[in-house]
Amino acid sequence: MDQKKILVFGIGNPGRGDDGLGPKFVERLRGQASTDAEFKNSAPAGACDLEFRYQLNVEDALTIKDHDFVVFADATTTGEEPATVTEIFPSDAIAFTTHRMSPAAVLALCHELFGRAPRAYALAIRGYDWDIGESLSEQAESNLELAIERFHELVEGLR
Amino acid sequence: MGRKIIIEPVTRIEGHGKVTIHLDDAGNVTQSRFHIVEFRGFERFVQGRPYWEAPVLVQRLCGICPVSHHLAAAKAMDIIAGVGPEGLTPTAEKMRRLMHYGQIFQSHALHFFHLASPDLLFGADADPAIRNVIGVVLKHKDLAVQGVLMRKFGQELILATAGKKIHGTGAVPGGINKNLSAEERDAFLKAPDPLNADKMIAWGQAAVDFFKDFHRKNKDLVDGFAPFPSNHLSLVRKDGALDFYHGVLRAVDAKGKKVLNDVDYRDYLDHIGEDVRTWSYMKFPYLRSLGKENGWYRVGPLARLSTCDFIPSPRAQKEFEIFRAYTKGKPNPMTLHSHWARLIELLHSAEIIKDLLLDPDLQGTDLVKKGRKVHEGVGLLEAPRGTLFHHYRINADDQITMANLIVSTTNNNEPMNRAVHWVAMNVLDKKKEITEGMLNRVEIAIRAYDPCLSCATHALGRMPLQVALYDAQGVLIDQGER
Repeated sequence: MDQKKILVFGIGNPGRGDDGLGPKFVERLRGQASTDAEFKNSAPAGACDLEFRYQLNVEDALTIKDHDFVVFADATTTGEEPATVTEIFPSDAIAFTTHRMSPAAVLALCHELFGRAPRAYALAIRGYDWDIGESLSEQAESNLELAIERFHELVEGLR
Repeated sequence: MGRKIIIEPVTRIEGHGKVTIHLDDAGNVTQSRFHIVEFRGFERFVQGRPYWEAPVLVQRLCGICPVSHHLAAAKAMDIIAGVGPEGLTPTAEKMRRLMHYGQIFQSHALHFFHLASPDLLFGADADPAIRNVIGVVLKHKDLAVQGVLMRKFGQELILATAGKKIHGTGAVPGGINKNLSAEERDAFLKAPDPLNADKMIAWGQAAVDFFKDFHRKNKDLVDGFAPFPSNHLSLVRKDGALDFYHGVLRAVDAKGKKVLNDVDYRDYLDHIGEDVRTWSYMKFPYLRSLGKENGWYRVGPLARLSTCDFIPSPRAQKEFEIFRAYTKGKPNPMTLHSHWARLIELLHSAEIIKDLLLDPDLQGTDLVKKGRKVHEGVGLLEAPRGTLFHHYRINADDQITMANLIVSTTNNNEPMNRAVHWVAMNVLDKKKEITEGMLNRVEIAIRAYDPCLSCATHALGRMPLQVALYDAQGVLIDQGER
C-alpha cells in the first residue's frame, strides 16, 4: 500500500501553561510511536514525522514540502471543547511582526515556492490557563487525551 | 475644547499590539500611543531556581530570539561563576560568537524577507492581497528562496553550536559544553551551493545591493517616512568596532556627540533609568544624564550603525562607509533606513561566520573555566533587535533571588511611539476614520523595529494589531485590526 507521509507540528510555549498543549501533543505521540507498533505502522499513515515549534516561520515551508499531509496542533482560547479538526488552505496574509506566521501562510509560501502544498489540518485544543508554568490545567489535560483520539480518527480517515 | 483623556493601564492583552490615537474637537491628533504588554512574569519564574539553569530557562521567554537570551544569561552567569565577562577560553568565546552571529544572520534574513521586502516592494497603498510574502515570491522568486535558505543556514549553525534548535544548552556558566567538530565545520564551509558560507556572503551582498537600488529609485519614500532625531545606544568593541557579542556601552546624541562614553555595562544602573507611564505596563528606559524627557534612545541596527566607528569585516565596512556618508557621518534618524542598516549587519554576520568557521580554536577542547563565585552578575549583548540586558542576584544556596531584564523592545518603546505618532500626524490628522492606508503605514512604522511580543502565548488567534481612534470626549469612533 502507498504509504502517505504525515507531518505533525506541535506549536506553543511549554513554559506558559496550556499554551504547551501543542508541544505536549507531539510528546505524547512520540511516546506512543516508540512503544506502539500498531500506531507506528498503521496504514495509510505510515510513521508520522513529529516537530515541536514555539511558532511557525518561513523555513517551515521547506519542512512541509515533501509531505502528503500536515497537522498543526495548537492551543486555542476560544474554540470548541475539547478540540476541533479543521481543514485549512493556503492564505497569503502577513503579520505586523516576525513573531507570528499562520499555518495558512506557511502553506501558501510552500505552494508558491515549490509548486505544491500538502493537505493540511488545524487541530485546535482548547486551553484555559496561560500563566507561567510547565504543566497543563486539569481540563486541558483531559482535552489533550480527547485530541489524541481525534487525531487518530483523522489519520484513519485519510485512507 | 479638547479634553485630556486619561487611559487606565490596559488589562492583560498580552500578545496584542495596540495603537490608540486621540483627536481634539477640530480633528487634530493630540496624542498617539503604541503599547504592547511586556511579559514581566519571567522574573518570578526564575526565582528560587539554581543559577546554572538560567541560560536554558530564559529561552522560554521567546521562540524567535531564544539564543540572545541564552547567551545574555550565560554572560551574567559567567560573572557569578567567577570567570568574569572576558575570562572564557578562546574555544568557548568563539563558539558562543558563532552561535550568536548565526542567530543574528537568520533573524535579519527573516525580517528582510518576511516583513521589510513586502513593504518596500509594494508600498503602503498596495492591496494587502499582494503586499505579503506571496507577492514577493510571485515578483521576486529568487529573493524569496534566498530568504528561506538563509534562515535554514542560520538555524543549522544554531543547532551545531547550541546542541538543539530549541532549548539549546550550548552555553554554560564559565564556558560552553561542546566544540565544533571538523565535520560540522566542513558542513558549513564546503557544502555544495547554496548552503555554504560563501554563498551566504554573496546573498548578503545582494540583499544590500537590492536595498540601495530600491533606495535610489524611491528616495522620497525611504528618507521621508517617520524620520525623527534621537539618541542612539549600543555595545561597541573597546576600539569602537561594531560587535554583537561583547563590548562597552556607548550612547550618542542626534549630532553624534557621546553621551555615554564607552562605560562598563555592569554599571548600567548608574547610567540607565526606567520611567513608568500611567497608560502602559511597559517601561521607558532613558539615559540618566539627559533626564526622562530627553534621555530616550533607539537601539537596534540603526542605532548600532550610528554609534560604532567601523565594522570589522571588509565588505560590510565598505557598505558602512556609504551608509554613514549619506548622513555626512552623523547618526541616522530615518526609520526606514533601519532596513538598510539591518542588511549591512546581515552581510557582516555572514563574513564573521566564515572567519570563525576557519578558526581552529573552534575545535579546541578547553571549554569551561571556573573561578570564585560571586552573588551578582550582569550580561549584555546586542540581540537582533537591539541591546539586551540580563541582571541576576543569587543567595548562598546558589538560588536566583532577583532577575531584571531590559529587552530590546522595551529600549525601543519611545522610538516606536514616535514613529507611530508621525504616522498619526501625517496620515490621520483631521480625518475621522481608519483607512487601509493608515493601518498599512502604522504597520510599516512598527515593522521597522520588529517588536518582540515577549513571548506571549501563541494560542491560535491571539496576536492581532489593534488601532483605535478616539474623539475629544474619549469616545471610540473607529477601530481596525490586523
